[in-house]
Amino acid sequence: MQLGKEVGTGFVSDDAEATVGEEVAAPPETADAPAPDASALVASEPEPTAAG
Amino acid sequence: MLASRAAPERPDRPFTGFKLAHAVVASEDGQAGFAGLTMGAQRVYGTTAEAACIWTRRHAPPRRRCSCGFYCLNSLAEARALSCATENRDAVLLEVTASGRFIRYERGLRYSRQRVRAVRVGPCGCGRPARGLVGWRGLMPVCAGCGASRALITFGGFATRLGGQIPVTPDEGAAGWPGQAGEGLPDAGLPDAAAIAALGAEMALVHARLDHLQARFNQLEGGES
Repeated sequence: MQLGKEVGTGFVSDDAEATVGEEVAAPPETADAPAPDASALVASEPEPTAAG
Repeated sequence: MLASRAAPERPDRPFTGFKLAHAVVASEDGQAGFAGLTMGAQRVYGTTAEAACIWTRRHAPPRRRCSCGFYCLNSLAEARALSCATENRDAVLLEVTASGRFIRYERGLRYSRQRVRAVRVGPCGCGRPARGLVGWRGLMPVCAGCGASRALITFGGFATRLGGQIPVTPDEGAAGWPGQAGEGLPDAGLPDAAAIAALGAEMALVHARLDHLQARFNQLEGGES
């Protein structure tokens, strides 16, 4: 899977994980944020090629 | 010289991503799960999972300059496009919540924690809409006709084996047979008995014709018919 160049790193928690049963009924658009746009290219890493 | 790196990001909410995976079912207890397409195929994961590096235990995924961690794409369309590759046609499409440590790329993420939110099943290998999954351990989408003589796990059955919290549905947006039902490709179901009878009769005629030609050939060569 080619993901392109790295644009950022970080950590995010999934607070809804404890209430999975409730959340699956909700539309995904309202539960999670969309992945942000690639804006600031900060490093040139080799593109990953594996799928996991 | 290494480029300077930006400060670590701390988004308020986890990411939504899309990825392909092979649907699997354990031979022991019938519990369902997923396996990655390439290196990730070595490990089966459930609806919630923590990534582990398959190369070493010395670091936590995802790690720069290693290929470890879960992968997903930002775009559903891109994940669907990936399923067109020959080697991926048996895979199902997962909608996931990606969280934990992450490395963000132009087209997707590499991350440490995953929660599967929905499973979308593409068409059968023949192009008809899938009605379930078949296989032994590794499953693949199949239509009613192609799966007629095999043990079929319905979408509902697969959802139950996943724990009953994840919707498993046909991928309505996936590309299937481009023609319409009835346009040279039956929608589904068992082969038509009348068509089989007609084909059998035609084959019998062809065999009779070949026998006749063989007899004439033998006569021309001076042998007996």
